[in-house]
Amino acid sequence: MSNESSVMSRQSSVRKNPPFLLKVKNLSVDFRSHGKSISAVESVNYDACAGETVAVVGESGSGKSVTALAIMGLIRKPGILRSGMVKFDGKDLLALSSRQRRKYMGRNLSMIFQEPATSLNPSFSIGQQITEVLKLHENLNHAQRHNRALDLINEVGISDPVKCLKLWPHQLSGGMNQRVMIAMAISCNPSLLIADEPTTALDVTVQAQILDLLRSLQQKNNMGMIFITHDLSVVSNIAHRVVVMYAGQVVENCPTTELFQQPQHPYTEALLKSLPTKNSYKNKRLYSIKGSPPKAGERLSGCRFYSRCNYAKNNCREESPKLINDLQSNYRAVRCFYPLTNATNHMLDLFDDSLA
Amino acid sequence: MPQHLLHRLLLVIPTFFGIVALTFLLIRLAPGDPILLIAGEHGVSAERYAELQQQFGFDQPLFIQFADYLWQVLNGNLGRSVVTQTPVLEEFSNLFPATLELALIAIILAVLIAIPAGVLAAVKRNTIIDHSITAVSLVGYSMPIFWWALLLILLFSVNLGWMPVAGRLNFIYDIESVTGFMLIDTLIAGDKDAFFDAVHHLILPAIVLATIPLAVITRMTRSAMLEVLKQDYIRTARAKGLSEFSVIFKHALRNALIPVITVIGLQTSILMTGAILTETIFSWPGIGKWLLEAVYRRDYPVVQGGVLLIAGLVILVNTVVDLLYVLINPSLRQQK
Repeated sequence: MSNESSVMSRQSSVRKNPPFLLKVKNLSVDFRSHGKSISAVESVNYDACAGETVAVVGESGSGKSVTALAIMGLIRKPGILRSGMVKFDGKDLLALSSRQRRKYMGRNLSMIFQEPATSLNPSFSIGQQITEVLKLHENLNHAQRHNRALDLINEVGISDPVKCLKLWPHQLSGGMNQRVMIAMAISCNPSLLIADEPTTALDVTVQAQILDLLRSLQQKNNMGMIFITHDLSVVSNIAHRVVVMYAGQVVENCPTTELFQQPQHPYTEALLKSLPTKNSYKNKRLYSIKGSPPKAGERLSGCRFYSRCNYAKNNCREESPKLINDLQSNYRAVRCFYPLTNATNHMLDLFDDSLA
Repeated sequence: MPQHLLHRLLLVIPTFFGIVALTFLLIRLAPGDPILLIAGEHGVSAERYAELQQQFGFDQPLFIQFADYLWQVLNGNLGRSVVTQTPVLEEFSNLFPATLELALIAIILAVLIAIPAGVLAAVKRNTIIDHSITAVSLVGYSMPIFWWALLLILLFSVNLGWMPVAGRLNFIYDIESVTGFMLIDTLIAGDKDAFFDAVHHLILPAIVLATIPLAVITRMTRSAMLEVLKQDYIRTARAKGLSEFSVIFKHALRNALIPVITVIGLQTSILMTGAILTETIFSWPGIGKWLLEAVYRRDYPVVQGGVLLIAGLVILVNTVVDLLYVLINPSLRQQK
């Protein structure tokens, strides 16, 4: 219950009058394969305010990581940025030259990744890799850089900073490497951190530590965070707002508490139902969504969730729903012709269970 | 690391014995008699033949000859050439600098061109640039070396007259041999014209000798770079805001060099062991040509001693490569 109230209180503390830190508008990314263009991400919109954690949730292939890479300007061939705008700090990052954009990357806007062990360069020591960012973006001399690196290592909770700087990535555990990645990412006090499944490759206990670390850093530095995950139980612990993605589209965008209380999109509801709860062991099979997500490239007309949806009606097959703001509260949006309402809601118990 | 090295050094011992035994037996298995070959057209009387056989020890049973030879080698004596009566070691050390000079220039040339070319091919993967580089290196790798050498001589030396045909230095210069390296000796002698003449003589053989290593190293660099550029830490480097140049030449190349260095080492030892074809075509007075002639004359001590020395060099180069490997690859450095 304490977790629930903390989510609530954090929720109410932001988004009063949002000065948007990041605004992703109509972002579309294609992948070219055998001469054909396959859409990976289609017209994605979401935003984040300073000090706000936005979780982007979805299955593999839903386009959540691709969106993040596009924000960072890290889409490489065969990926192609088809259209869109990424407004950060008042500038459209995608319209900048790569030289101008590099001034933001790693400084105001940084990113950590899923596989900490392979995300660090095996041929450079931890110290070299951290000071490299400082050398690039900050006007410090050698000794100042070294001291700043020591502070950073300390800040991410590694006990012997002096020794750690001299070590190599292969000498550290996955959790340690992720801490080093975090130290690198926050080294220039970024206003936005993108964390792409930062805990997926780690042990459960280490996961919790890394989450705590990210949350405390985020609060301390009033840093915005885009937290990409497929794990809804992590979301409830860390995020103020959740963006649910399915098959390359945003299907729901909603404050965390309300999402858990009243999901409006059938896919979100199905995801929540699939969460294991305290009662799951009672001879009940865990809920699973029927069918499988559409493969990239075979996206048909109509709602993309149509074939797996429990509430689908005839027009869902032919017409594609748009992402529409909720009528009562304009701070949540859903892509569905028949958004779920209180009448269909039976999620409340589940919410309590998952957070208890 | 010391244990790693010690292990390598211990392996040298059986390798050395193997090489001694193998060269000793192989050259004796080949038909032909060194004494008859020295005697030439006039032949040799039966008594003189027996006398010479005794002098060289060829009258003894094979295993006694081998034991004698092994004892000699262990005492650091590689014997004298049957033909010239000069100690094998002396002949080798007189000729080796010529081979080494050519080999080093060739490998430096190859590395300087191959690494940038391989990086470029990898970065511009599947473009016309990549395809051209791959095609050229494939041609270079497949071209018979003697044919390529003759083509170059025909064009640059015979038709255009830009390059000398053979040798290390024009006979008008008289340079005292101090180090045996012509480039260094001419500089010691302070003769600028001779130095440029030596460079001039080096160009064609170095190009010919560099061709295969160039092709091999280019292809290795390309594939190693392609592998490394896919890695997560390259994405991290880009996310840091580093320029594409730093990403490629600092973060990617450093890792791609690990397999490339092995290939460079192997190629270097191949070149140092004497490029028989290149040295023969360009009349380059090195060990490749020397060894070839010794085989023709069944000069047992020269073949045995020469091969042994070359094997020693190969082992030395491989050990140096291993050391470099440890320097460049941190995960080997901290082995307990």
